[in-house]
Amino acid sequence: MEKLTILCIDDQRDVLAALRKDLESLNEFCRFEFCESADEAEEVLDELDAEVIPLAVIVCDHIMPGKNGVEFLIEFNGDARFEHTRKFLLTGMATHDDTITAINQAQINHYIEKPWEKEQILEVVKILITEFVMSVGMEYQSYLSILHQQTLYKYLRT
Amino acid sequence: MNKKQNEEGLKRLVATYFSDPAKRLKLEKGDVLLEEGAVNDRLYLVLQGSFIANNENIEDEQQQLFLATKDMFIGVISFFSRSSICVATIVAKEDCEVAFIDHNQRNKAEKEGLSLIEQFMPVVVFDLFQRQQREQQIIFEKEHTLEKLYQAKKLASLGQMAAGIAHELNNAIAVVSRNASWLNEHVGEMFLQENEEAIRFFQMGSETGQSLSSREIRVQAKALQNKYDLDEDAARKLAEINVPSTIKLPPLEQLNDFINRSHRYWELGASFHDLNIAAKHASHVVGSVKALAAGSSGIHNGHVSIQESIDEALTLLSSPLRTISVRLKIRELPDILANKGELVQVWTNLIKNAIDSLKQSGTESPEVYISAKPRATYVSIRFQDNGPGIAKEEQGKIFQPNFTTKEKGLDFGLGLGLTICERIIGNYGGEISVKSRPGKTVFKIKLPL
Amino acid sequence: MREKLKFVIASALPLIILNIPTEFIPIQGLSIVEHRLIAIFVMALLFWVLEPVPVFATSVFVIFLELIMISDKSFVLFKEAAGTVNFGVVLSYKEIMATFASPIILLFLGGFFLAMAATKYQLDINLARVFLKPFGTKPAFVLLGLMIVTAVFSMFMSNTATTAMMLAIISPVLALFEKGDRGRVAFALGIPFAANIGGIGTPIGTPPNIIAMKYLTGESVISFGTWMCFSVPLVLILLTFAWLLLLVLHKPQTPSINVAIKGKFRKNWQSLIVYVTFTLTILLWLFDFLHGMNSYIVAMIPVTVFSMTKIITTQDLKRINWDVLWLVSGGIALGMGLEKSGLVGHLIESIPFASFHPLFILFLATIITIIMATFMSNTATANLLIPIMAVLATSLPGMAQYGGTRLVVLAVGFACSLAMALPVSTPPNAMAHASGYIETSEMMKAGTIISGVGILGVYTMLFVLKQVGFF
Ligand SMILES: Nc1ncnc2c1ncn2[C@@H]1O[C@H](COP(=O)(O)OP(=O)(O)OP(=O)(O)O)[C@@H](O)[C@H]1O
Ligand SMILES: [Mg+2]
Repeated sequence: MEKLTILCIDDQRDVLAALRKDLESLNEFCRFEFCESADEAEEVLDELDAEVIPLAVIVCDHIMPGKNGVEFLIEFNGDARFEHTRKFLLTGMATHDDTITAINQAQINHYIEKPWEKEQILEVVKILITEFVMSVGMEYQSYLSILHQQTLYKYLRT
Repeated sequence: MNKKQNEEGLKRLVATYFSDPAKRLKLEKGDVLLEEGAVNDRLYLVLQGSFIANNENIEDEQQQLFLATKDMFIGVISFFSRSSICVATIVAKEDCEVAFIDHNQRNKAEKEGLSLIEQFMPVVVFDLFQRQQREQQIIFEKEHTLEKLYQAKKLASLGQMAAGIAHELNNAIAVVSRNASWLNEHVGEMFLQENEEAIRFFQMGSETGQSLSSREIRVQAKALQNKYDLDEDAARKLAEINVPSTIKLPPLEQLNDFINRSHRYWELGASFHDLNIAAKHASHVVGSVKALAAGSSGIHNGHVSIQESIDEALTLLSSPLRTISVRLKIRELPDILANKGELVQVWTNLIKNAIDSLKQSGTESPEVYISAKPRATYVSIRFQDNGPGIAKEEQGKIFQPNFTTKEKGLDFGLGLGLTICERIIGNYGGEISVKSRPGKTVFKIKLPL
Repeated sequence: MREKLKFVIASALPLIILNIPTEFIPIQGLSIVEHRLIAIFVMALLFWVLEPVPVFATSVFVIFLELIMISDKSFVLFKEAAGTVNFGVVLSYKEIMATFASPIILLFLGGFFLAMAATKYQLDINLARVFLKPFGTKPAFVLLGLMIVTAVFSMFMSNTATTAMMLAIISPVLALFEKGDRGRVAFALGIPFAANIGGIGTPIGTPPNIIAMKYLTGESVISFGTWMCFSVPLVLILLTFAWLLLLVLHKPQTPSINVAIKGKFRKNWQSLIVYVTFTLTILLWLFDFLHGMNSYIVAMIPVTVFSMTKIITTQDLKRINWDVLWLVSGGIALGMGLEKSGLVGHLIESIPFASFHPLFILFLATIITIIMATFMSNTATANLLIPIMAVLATSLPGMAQYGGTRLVVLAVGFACSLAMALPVSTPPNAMAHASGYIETSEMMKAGTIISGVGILGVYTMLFVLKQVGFF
């Protein structure tokens, strides 16, 4: 089984650390990349692509110095290398307009406002992983225990 | 009918009917021309000065019925409606002169057959039209004022709310931060008794937290992965701990185990570190919001000695100022009318900024220089530091809310400090300005006496 | 890491077998072709058990190896010994390749088309809604209803898809159960068990049935309708037993359950075509003795109708489970090799099967089947065992009197579907286990009992069939 990558972007180190702790239970099936800025994330994306590592989910903050989260995700959305990767905006503050842009132009798959709850974020990430695995057409059986069941049923019904 | 035609018509009427010197009146300010409810059979034309109409049950000056100025008629309704009863009391607002006609007025029509009313009609209608317009204008202005008032009230209640929220939040934050440090201490103690290795990693975590950037960790992890043939996860953990070279790593076969264990302890410590920082962050945010809300109150509640308020600010900041030399040059100053808390707030923000700049840059022999001088109409107070200063292109932005260059770590900022200063000083009718070059940054404040 | 190790093991052993001299293998009269086939068989066995690659890939590999090693157009190196006395019989490459489109595969494809169209036009969900109504809201009866609906659907749809659909229906209900309510387990187990059991109901219910059908030819042939005549009662009996067992083990405490399914039967012309074709196909399958078309030809009706009416589009076609079809193809090709080369014959000769009682052999075969199927893919188990058992049945002198090929093939085929003791046993089991409502031990307990009783049920059914003179 190939480990799925989850890329977390947030300018605050402590937020990244908290995220890592909450997502720790996915360790057996996932590997994590942490970035403190959109620019850094872009470097990591190039590396992932070069090493052909599947990137399942991006968890991205919005307000960051340099390129903000929505801008980054809009660009990312157009990146053909990662067309199946699921996008998830996790933010402390995004205006109504930012959110609309994120949905329309970056086509984010999920949006959560900080502070988050562990159960909540785990569930969302699981849903997104399931969608990724199924839409890429990976062998879902190997990831069964971290997949979101209801989402899986939808894919398996047909 | 346009204005010009009207003016011509008016001129004609004045010439024909209001030129009789016997039918003129001079009034002084406050004289009553017409009384509400009294009989009136005259039509007045204002030649000079202005009048206001008071309705009995309206006292508010804003609500005056109309204002008659030069070339306007008074008594139109009672004269033409034939009821002859005045609907309002008309009072001279200043010294005035009016001309009038009465019902006995002879018709002096140039054209045959035009009645007096017919001759006056166009001009009077225009007059009424103007009055209506003015009325509308007043209503509009009134609404505008109301809106402003409403905004002000909203702001005030926002301030109150902010203060309320701040209070509640502070309680919660206090609990979080107190418990975090308590746990930090005692969890450490318990480990200490049991396991020396554990306490070391725990302390490393709790003292510095995650000191490496995500990029450094990635690079480091790759190197470690190659060096020790670790799996990716273990390499990342080892990189995160950032083990100093003094600690000897166990042999390869125990390495994975060792890393997992130590990383847990380290992570435990780092969590406390993060908790403390986050609590500090939160209370700073609350403080600033509170100050911002209070800053807009503008209440001056006493004579404040500037000297004292500066001293108070310095005491508040005494601990970060330990490594910085402070020079003071304050001349005899008169007290000013202000809120002391607010002034202290301003000084603290300015000094804190200077400290931040000096510390971040690691300036050699850092110094803050504060001076104050009285002038004819104002007091001038300067805060100077020998830090690296503010870039030219940023100097215009530093007073904007949210502008900050302190985005990370312990000395993060909200960019509200100077905004608060500017508001408070502005409320006192003062000014704040900045001049900066590397080695010399001066914030100068002028407060009116 | 572990995957690599598995791959190495699964490849090394067949390579070793391939490289030991033929004479060293203790089987009388073993030809070179048969020797190679043993290597291929062992490879298939190890790959299907250890699964270092997806099971369908192993199938493709089997076909490929047969083509290059033992076909009439094989690779030159493998032809060097051709002509020598003990080279053996090679297979026709055309026949090997034809396994990809054997009638059996097309029968299954017909089933896929029916299931896809039904799902696309929400026929399945709507039927589920209607069927579940009469069962009310008492948890015990709701469970029975769910299990019957699941079983019936899985006769025509893939067990996995059926389970996914039914779990999707009940998950929101299960979430409302109180923490301590054991009934949740009953529901979470009932669905996959019913899907596994229901698969037995028709020849297209699950791939092992299809493989069994492949060996029920000539005088042993069984029609679609006949199959259902005896398997549906078996399904109903096992289902009732499973239901009672689950109620005893995990009695639901909630007084009532409300399974709400939204929707209405669709009424556009496409839906009507789906309804009519669905009914018609099943009727034609059941009454093949009336119209003369066999079930393989009937299976082409939904394929044709749905393609012509654009009910199944180009895009839909891409979503067909080709892996399942290929898995079966590989099995057929492997079986063909075993049979045609005469390997099974030789194998049987060198083991003194004849000294055992035929029924003991039958018993042993079903037990091996169920154990293998518990730990690996049911279809792969069928692929490996049914061909061998089919030849064994004909070559054992005593077997014919008990029912011969039909008896053995049906017993082994059914046994494949009855393995449900572990999450890895079947995809429905895995899915239900992943729902988080059941412990492995709970599944193991109920699953083992049902497997055991299921086998007894199969024996009973076979006995009854024997009594009524079917064999
Ligand atoms: N004395 C100084 N020397 C250098 N830079 C300064 C100085 N004072 C202010 N600045 C710059 O102006 C910016 C805005 O200052 P301001 O006090 O408004 O916000 P802040 O200090 O970043 O955050 P906070 O809201 O916590 O005070 C600072 O981030 C800093 O870059
Ligand atoms: Mg500041």
